[in-house]
Amino acid sequence: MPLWVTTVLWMGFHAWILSKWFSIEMSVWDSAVSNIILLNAALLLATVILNYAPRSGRLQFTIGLSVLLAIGCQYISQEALIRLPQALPDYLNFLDETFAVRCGVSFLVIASAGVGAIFYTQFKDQQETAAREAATQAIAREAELQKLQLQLQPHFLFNCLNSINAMILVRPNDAQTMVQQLSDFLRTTIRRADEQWINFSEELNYLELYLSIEKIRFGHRLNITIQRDETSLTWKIPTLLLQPLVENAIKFGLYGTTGNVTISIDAYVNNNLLEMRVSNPFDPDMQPSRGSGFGLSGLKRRLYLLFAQNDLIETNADNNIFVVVIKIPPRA
Amino acid sequence: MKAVIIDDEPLARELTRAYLKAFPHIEVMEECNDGFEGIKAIHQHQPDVIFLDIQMPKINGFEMLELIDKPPAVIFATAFDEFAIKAFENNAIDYLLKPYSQDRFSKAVQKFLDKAKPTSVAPDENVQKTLDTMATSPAQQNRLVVKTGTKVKIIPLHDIQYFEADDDYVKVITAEGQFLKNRTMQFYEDTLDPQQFVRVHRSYIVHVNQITRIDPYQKESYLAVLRNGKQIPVSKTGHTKLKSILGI
Repeated sequence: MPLWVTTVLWMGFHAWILSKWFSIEMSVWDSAVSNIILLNAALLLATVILNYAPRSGRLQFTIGLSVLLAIGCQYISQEALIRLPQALPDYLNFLDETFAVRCGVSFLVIASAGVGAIFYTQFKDQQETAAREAATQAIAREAELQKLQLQLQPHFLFNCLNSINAMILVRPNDAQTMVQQLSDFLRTTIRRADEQWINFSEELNYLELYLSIEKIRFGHRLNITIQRDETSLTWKIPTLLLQPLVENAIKFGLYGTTGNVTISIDAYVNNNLLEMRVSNPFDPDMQPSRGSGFGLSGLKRRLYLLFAQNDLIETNADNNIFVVVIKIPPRA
Repeated sequence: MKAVIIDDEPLARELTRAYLKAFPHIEVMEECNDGFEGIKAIHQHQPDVIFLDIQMPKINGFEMLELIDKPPAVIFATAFDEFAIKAFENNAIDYLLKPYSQDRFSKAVQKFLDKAKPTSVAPDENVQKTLDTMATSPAQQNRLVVKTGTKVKIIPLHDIQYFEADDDYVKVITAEGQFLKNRTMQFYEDTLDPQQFVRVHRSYIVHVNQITRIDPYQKESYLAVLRNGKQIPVSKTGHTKLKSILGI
């Protein structure tokens, strides 16, 4: 609305000035033709900046494009105006002489539209970043709670205690080891609640602790392979990412099939991204029993909030093997 | 007396076996890793009592029991929290919350022995009641387990088109075929989500997603036409229920 009011006022003003020298009809034509073309150029520039402008060097980009558009505008306007039957020789002369001035004015109008668009996008970006940060904090708290619930989940804990109970009777020495491992695991879990980022190697140690317990419970069926390269070890990753993923994979493997279960975990740095790959067997005929809490959609959302990228998680189900790939960009 | 232990954790089975040494006249015939092995072992050994875990590969303990014609007495041993346990505590011989002590275990077995002596309480009747109170079982699992010949088939609830009464059985109709369940229409009406499965007629429970249209039939009765063209009779009360669920 304000755009239209401004345009009409501007066009009126333009026509009024010209009418001091030329006929009213000619002035209105001149104003209408050149300003409508100018308006389109300004809108075009604003659209380009809002949607396609590069992140850096925006100002240079805007000024450069404004110059080109201003000259182009005036050229087209002039070509159109000289063909009008109302164009008398003194008007044509006037057009020629004022070309540079008109270009200058057009440039100012187009460039201000561009600069306005830049401010607008920056404002939007800031808002988005703020919203994302707030959401990240909220989800971190949520995840913290969820993690405690997940990892200290009563089912896991009570089954562990039952295994220990059995071991005390049948293999007392192993019972001590398992108590130790379970305690270490629980202690690390509680400590992790305060941390946001850790080295991949630390997460790996934590994971191995967890896996050693699951191996005691399900060693007869569960087989785990871990492969990683040297660079991955020092990569910073968000906490509560890998272990819940592996836990899910184990659950699906153990409860979704009846045979032996191989869980593979691979981590490699590729194209400046840490790629973590977790795979487990699954039975496509199985109807998974209800939602597993920290599902993949939650993970995807979390990765988006942390990195503002939507393509960091991929899943693939082939030959009865379910694979999840998570990519972690380097920490800025 | 014969017993079978069904649990997917070897250590849990070892514990049960170790605790059972206090009852020398109860012999463990077999240890099973999952419900499928469990079904086989029960058919083969006809045990007097089974020790049964709930969370197991592919089919859970309840689903396994549903597939056995004459289930023996059951003592559940599970890490499920008490809240979930409430659902069946009155009807199983006993339930053991992991981890449990030798004392607690012995009490459960004693309970079974006391009940087994006078033979007045048929164990299978007991189990049937247990299963019925686990009313929420199919809804909780989002699936139904059926037996075709010797094979066990798992049907996701959303694949079911409708249920039809068939004498003492209920026919479950899916795109892949029909399966018989030894259950009542009332059971499914009570346990399935009433927003999805509607008892439209004395003999029919239909999955609302399958209905494409409802035609008037005779005075005060209707026909529901399913996606596959099948026509299901709808009674007057069934029609009222359908209307409120479909919002028409």
